[in-house]
Amino acid sequence: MYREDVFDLIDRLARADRRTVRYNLLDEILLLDEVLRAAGVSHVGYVAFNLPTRRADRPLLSAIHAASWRKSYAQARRVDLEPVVRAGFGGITPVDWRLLDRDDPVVEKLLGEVLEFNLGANGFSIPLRGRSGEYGLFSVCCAEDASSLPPRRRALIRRLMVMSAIFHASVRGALGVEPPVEMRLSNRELACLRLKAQGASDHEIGVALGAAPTAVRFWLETARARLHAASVDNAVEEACRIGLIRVGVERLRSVIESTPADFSSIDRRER
Amino acid sequence: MIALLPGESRALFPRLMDEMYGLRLASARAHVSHPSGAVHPLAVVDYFDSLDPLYILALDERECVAGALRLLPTAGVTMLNAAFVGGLPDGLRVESPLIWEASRLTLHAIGDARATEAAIDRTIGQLGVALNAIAETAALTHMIGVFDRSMHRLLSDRGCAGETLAPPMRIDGADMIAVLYEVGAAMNAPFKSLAGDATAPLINLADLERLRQTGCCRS
Repeated sequence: MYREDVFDLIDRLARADRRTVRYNLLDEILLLDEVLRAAGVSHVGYVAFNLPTRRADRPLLSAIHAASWRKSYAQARRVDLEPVVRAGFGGITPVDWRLLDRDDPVVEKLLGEVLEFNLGANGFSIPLRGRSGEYGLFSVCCAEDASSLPPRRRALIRRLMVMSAIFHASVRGALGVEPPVEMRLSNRELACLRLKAQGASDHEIGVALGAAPTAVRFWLETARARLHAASVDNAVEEACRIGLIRVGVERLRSVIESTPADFSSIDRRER
Repeated sequence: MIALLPGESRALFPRLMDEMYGLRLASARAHVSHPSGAVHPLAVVDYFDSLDPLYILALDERECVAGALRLLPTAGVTMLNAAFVGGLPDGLRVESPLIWEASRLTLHAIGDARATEAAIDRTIGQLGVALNAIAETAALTHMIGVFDRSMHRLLSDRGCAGETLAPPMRIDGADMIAVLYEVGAAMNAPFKSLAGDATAPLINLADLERLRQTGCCRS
């Protein structure tokens, strides 16, 4: 994949609704590009339905596959048949193409065409759901040997889940689906990020805040998602950058003192 | 057997859907507090069922629904964010692609005096193990359970209640509690212990139906 392809993708997404891209997507797209390259991804496609735009009835589709493939795909109305699309829009779990039934004549034919057009025959499709009730599907093609080991496969799926959600949020922003809102994190998320920024482990944060490590990781994850960061470390950096937390100024004690009194209740099991 | 039924395919499996809704009705009747015995209509089918969730169905040896759960990603519309948000810290939505919501836990045993503790344990165990397996497949970090008080008590008694995330809220005529699970071995262990040897394979019903349609399924 070439960086220009990703930019082109976004450009076409923006033009699809005749809106100006208002947000600076550069950082997010560069990050997406980097992640996809590292994962051995060769092509990416994105489709969304039911976006609350002026043209809600019109699906938003973009892909960096070759024009000849797109034309062949559209002319043969593959989208009506393709099991990946059906599973992706009908379900919520990621679709691993390796697990498709390759004895299915439809799958067999599609994979034959995929190879003919020099696209990867393995890949993942990540179903997307949005707060406005929209549905989306983010698909990537991988080289044959990519993600062969289970631990690596899970790590790749998790990264794709995160990146596709960030990408979808960027599209929503670019299309003006929702007005930019002030970034706001809960006190619990801020407390966890502050302590993380000071180098504390999940266990140490839990001890300091009177919470279980499970709860700490939960609040760090919700903070990461709210900040549209690719990882918790990136979320800490982003929170520092936009001034949500200040590292080096605040002492550990002050962080603990500023924690809401009911914070410790989150890990108390009700019996 | 554990069957996974994507909401989009519900029309293909009307018996299973009817049985699941029947369990919800029986569960609501067993815990109804209104003197007339009337059940809140949304206690059976609610708006979130229209959002194409993923249903986990525990089927008994006769392939009848013994228990069910409903899954929705928190990135989309969920019961937690739509109806529970006031009870969450600072009133902020929980929204992450790596966190899903499990709701509408129902068991055949609820309201049936003949049901044994062993049957309840087995069904809860099978559903919990399946929940963790699906979450691991989807590379999730956490699962949030939104359960009514009676189900939460059942889970608590068996050491499977997770961590309470927010105080109880009244939703559709029932007191609901949000609990947190971290996906992985720690979440799986108590459910696996309950399921015992009854841990069941996951069957995706939508895949089966596709195979049948394309003639690849011989049965």
